[in-house]
Amino acid sequence: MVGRRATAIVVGIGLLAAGGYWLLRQRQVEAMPLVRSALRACTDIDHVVRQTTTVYAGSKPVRTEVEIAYRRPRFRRMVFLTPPLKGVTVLDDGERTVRLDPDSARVVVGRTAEAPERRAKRKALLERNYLARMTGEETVAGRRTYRIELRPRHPGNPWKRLWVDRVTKILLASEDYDGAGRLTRKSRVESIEFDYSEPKGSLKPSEELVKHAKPEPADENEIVPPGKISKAVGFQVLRPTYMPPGYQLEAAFVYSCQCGCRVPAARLQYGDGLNTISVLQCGHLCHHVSACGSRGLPQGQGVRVVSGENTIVVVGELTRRELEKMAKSIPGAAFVPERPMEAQAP
Amino acid sequence: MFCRDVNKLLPEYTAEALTRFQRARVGKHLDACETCRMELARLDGVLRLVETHASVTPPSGLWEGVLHQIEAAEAPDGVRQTPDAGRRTSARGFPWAMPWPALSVAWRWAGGAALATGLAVTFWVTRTPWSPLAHRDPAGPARPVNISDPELVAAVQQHAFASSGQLFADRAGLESIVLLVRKNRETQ
Repeated sequence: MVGRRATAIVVGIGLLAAGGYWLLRQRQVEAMPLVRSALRACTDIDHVVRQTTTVYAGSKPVRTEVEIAYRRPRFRRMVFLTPPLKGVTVLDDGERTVRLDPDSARVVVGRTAEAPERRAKRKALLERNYLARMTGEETVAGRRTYRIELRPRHPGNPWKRLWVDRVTKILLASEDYDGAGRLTRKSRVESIEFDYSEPKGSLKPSEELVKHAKPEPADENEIVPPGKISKAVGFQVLRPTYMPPGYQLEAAFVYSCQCGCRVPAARLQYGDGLNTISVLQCGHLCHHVSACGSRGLPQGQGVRVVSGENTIVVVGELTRRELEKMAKSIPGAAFVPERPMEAQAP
Repeated sequence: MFCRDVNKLLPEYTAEALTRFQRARVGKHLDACETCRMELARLDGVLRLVETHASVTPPSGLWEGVLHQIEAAEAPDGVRQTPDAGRRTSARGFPWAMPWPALSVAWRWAGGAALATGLAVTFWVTRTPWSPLAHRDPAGPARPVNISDPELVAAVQQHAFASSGQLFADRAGLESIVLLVRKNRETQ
């Protein structure tokens, strides 16, 4: 009996020792520092990638091949290589985004979406609202990568899965999931080159090109301080009193209303460090005003409400319930969920 | 710690991604081992080269070469370690040679461990943000790409524009949504 007990104790100690030794030999990696390094590497290292991007819009996934060249400090050139967007080129010099479409022979210029002044705040929000965890290692484009999940601390918010190069920390693949846990987009680098022979000018849109471009109203976004947005658009911009957990008001923009009137409209942008909620608002009842409700969009979902003379659309990739709750919290919002939004469009 | 273990950890060490405990262990080893210090300097040098010397094109296969060098690092006493040598060391002391009479006790241990694992898995599945069930809402709406409502087209474009400025944004994916929606609208 004593012999059995002693054996059990020895076996127990042996198992604990073996387990402890195994744990000590394992790589104990904290994922958030890798996420920080990946954010830095994307802008600090010049490289050219060829990647496949899949968006789940429409009845079937749309898969495109893109070549993207990155050059410091913030130059980027995207060339779509396969249909339906073959030949489309997007140039971004950190201030302007120029889109060239050979099919329609049209050049569209808009303000770039990345705002360096908001980057530090977004990083802080990202670390506050998301938990990073390394879930394994994989080979992408022939390179060893960490697979990292950025999961929200608040269930119902969208999240991401990232593949980060082990040596350079460049992002080599990503998957975006919406608040319902459905895959919305994914991209994967097929090949990467650290090619420095590209002349800097080739990544910058020429002044001649920009001069001949026809700006599209939807791409014109003028940023204004959130406190002055009502004065800028000429009507009282209403704000939701409920915000999904983790989100903060980032900025306010003026754009042209697209219902046909082209009068100034407002867009409030909320962010949680990784994702965005857009609240678009115009100061009149658009011709679709009787068709309120929520519906799926190619990216995320939209909820339309009216409040007084204002027509408001809330767009995001959260769960429909959260977006509807946010839309309903707008003072005076009238919401008719039973009627599909396009049912009464003329 | 062996050089082989330390060299495997160097990329995480440079990114400050190791836990404090493991970082201290690697640091202690680096203080005592010149070979590993040289390896660390080599890795740092490669990264600096990529980040600062824009006129230099790294030869193809450089990165894989660095990794192979890390894998094939030498032990402190100068003896090249093989993967088998490390495995032998890790297996030492593990009670494979356990006497048969003790097996029933071991099974009890195993049962306890299985129960604890089961409880941990249950907790993970139901409580933590990593749970596969925590974010599921399969009854979501469809994602139409043909939108006739100009207001909604504008909403999609504006939202994609706003999202493309976020950290880790899939710019190519968002751009393709904007372009697809625009093309579809034009062809209607």
